[in-house]
This record gives sequence, C-alpha cells and structure tokens, in this order.
Amino acid sequence: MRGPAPSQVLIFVVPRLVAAALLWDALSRLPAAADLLRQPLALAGSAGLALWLASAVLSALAVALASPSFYAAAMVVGAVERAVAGHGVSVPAISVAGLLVLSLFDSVSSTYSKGQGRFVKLEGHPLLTWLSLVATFLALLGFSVAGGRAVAGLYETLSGAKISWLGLSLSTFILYRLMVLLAVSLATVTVVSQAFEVVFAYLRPSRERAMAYLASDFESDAFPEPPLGSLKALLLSSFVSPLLYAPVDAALAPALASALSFLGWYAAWASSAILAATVYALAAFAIHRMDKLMGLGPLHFMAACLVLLAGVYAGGVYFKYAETGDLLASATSPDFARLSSYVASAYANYYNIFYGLVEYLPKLMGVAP
Amino acid sequence: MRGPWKFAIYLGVGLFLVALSILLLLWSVGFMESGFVATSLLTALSGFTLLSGGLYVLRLSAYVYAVERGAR
Repeated sequence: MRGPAPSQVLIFVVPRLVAAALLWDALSRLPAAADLLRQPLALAGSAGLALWLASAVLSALAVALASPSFYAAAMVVGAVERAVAGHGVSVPAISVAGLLVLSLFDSVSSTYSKGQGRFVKLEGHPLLTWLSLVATFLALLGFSVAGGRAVAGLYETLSGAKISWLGLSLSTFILYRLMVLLAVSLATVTVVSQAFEVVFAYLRPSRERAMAYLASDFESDAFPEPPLGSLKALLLSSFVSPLLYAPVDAALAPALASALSFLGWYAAWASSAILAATVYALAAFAIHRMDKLMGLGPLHFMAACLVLLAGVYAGGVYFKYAETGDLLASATSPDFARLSSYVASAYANYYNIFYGLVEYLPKLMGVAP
Repeated sequence: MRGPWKFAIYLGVGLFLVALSILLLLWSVGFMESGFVATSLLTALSGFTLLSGGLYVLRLSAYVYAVERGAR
C-alpha cells in the first residue's frame, strides 16, 4: 500500500505546526491567568481567565482544523487578553506571518490534488508582473491598515461629543457607542473587501467571469443597511417614539401612576419610564416589520415623505384649532411655532426619561451606590 | 458610446459618489466636534449610503471593463 505523497504530508503538517505555535503561546500564559484569579479584583480576574480559555480553545481548534479563520480569531482574542492583563494591545509580527502561511496552505490545499504539481506559465514580462503584484499587494494592505485606523478614529469622534447635553447623554449611553462601533467596523470591512475586488477585476480582467457574474442574480447585494437592519430599527424608533410617547404619556400616565402608588415618590417617574420603554419597543418592532414587508423603491419614499408632510401640516392645524376654535382660520394659517415647541419638549422629556432610566435603574437594583 | 469606453461612465459616476461620500463623512466628523449631534449622525448616514452606492457602481464598472476588454 502506497503511503501519502510527501507534498500531501507537507500540506497537512505545516499549517498545523504554525497554529501549534499559537497554542503553545496560549498555554504558556496559563500561570499569568491563574495569577489574575488570585488578585482581589475578582472581575478583572474572571475576564482574564475567560479570555485565556477562549484563546486556548480557539487555537486548539485552529490546530485541529488548520483553518486561518480560527487562527485569526485566536490571535485577536490573545491580543485582547494581553490588553486586559495590562500589557497594551499588541499582536506579534510573527503571528501575522503565521496567518499568511496558514492562508497560503489553506488555499493551496483546497485546489491541490495528488500528483498534479505543474508549473504555470504567465504571459508578460516576468519582472514587471512580479513587481506589479507585490506593489498591488502592499497597496491593498495599506488599505486595510487605513481601514483599521478609520474605524478607531471615526468611532472616537462619533461617540465623543460632550458639548451639548444631547451629545453628552448619547456618548455615555453604552448602547449608542456599541451601535456606532458596529456600524463603523462593518462599513470599513465591507469597503475594504469590495475595494480589493474592484482593483483585482481591473488588473486582471476576465471576460467569462464578468459575463457570468453580470448575468447572474446579484441584485440582492446591498450594503450596509441590511446588516444593520435591527440597529436601524432601534435608531429610527428612537427618533419616532418621542412623538408617539408624548400623547400616550399625557393620556395614560396619571392612571398608571395611581396604579403604581405603592412605589410612593417614584410612582410618577416610574409610570413615565414604563410607558417610554414600551413605546420604544413597540415602535422598533413595527419599524423592523415594516422594513421587511415593503421594499425601498422610490414610490415608497415619496409616499413616506408625503405622509410626513401631511402629518406636520395636520399638527399645525390642530394647535391653531385648539387655540382659536375656528377651522377655516386654522386650515389657512397653521400654528407651526407651537407645534415645534411641543415636539421639542416631547423629545427633551423623552430623552430625560431615558437618561434617568440608565442612571437610576442600577441604583434601584443596588448595583451602584 | 461606441467602442470599449462604456466602463468610463460607470467609473466616473462611481468615483464621484465615493468622493461625495467622503466629503459627507468628513463633514459629519466636523459636526460632531462642534456639538451638532443630530446633524452629524444624519450626514454620517448619508455618507455611508453614498459610499455603498458608489462602491456598487465601481464594481459594476470593473465588470463592464472586464467584459469590454477582457482577455478570455
């Protein structure tokens, strides 16, 4: 019985050796993780131990499967663990080289079959081809680095506004910061990957592939709004729900407050908070559903804009009517000033409620002093 | 437009959209630093949407270029 060809053994062993280096590194950090446990700060210790466990498991999986994705994940978790332990965020250059080796072997092994080693002849001047390939690779690597920098910079500025009160309450709201981080990183990753695709399509144009792609059904290729579908629903709901909340609050809050009178001093505020949270959740759910039902064609947008205009006009007419009681006069000169002040106060009240919720809820539950 | 230059239209439109989106994103950062939070978020949203549209058109231009001048 013939044994495996030497090239097959090579393809099997080398990536696993490289991943095993990462596993060895993770295992050698076990004493440090155990030290973290003995420290009095239990929270830091458990986070460090959990991260170490995650990096060890991921690198073991990378060894077993020789997969570059698991290797990359293990690298990232290891870097985060080193940051938590206080050494600063760093990824050793050797690990990145190992990732390149792993990716190379992964792509070779997926197309290689036994005994098919042959040399491929590229047309064109060899030195120029080599130089152009290396230059392209370095330029696109620079794209990726710039993308990482852009994520950090954009996230810092988009979540660091402390001047206005709205900016302050938003930038300390952890859900908002998480949303901004997610949006910026998703956008950067997609931009960089599409840029790679575009540049390589220009460098090596292939007619067959282009025709096949254009003829296929690629209309479902939209970015970045669908990946942010539920986040967009949350964001839109936070814009819409103050307006929905204001009349609901005026109508229902006293009834709810009397039902919650056992809370004493907190009753009025608690009833407003419950109403606000319910309105927000319902609006987010409705927007998410609506997004799935209708498409985003231009007719839909126009219909939405017309509805919004009609709503604003009706609001102006309503306020003038409440003041004068004359329908014809209020139809011809709607009171937009009172409407805008009502809307502004509705938004201000709503966000005050949310800020108070974020601040008081931990105190009520005894988490913060 | 005769000849293998149709991709230039797509390329021009795509680059214009990407440039506009970069401008909007820079404005968004400037607005956030001056404290106009809502304006900043709105321009950020417009910037990202234009960026996605511009990248889509650039990809189309690459494929049209490959169809027109492709080797094989």
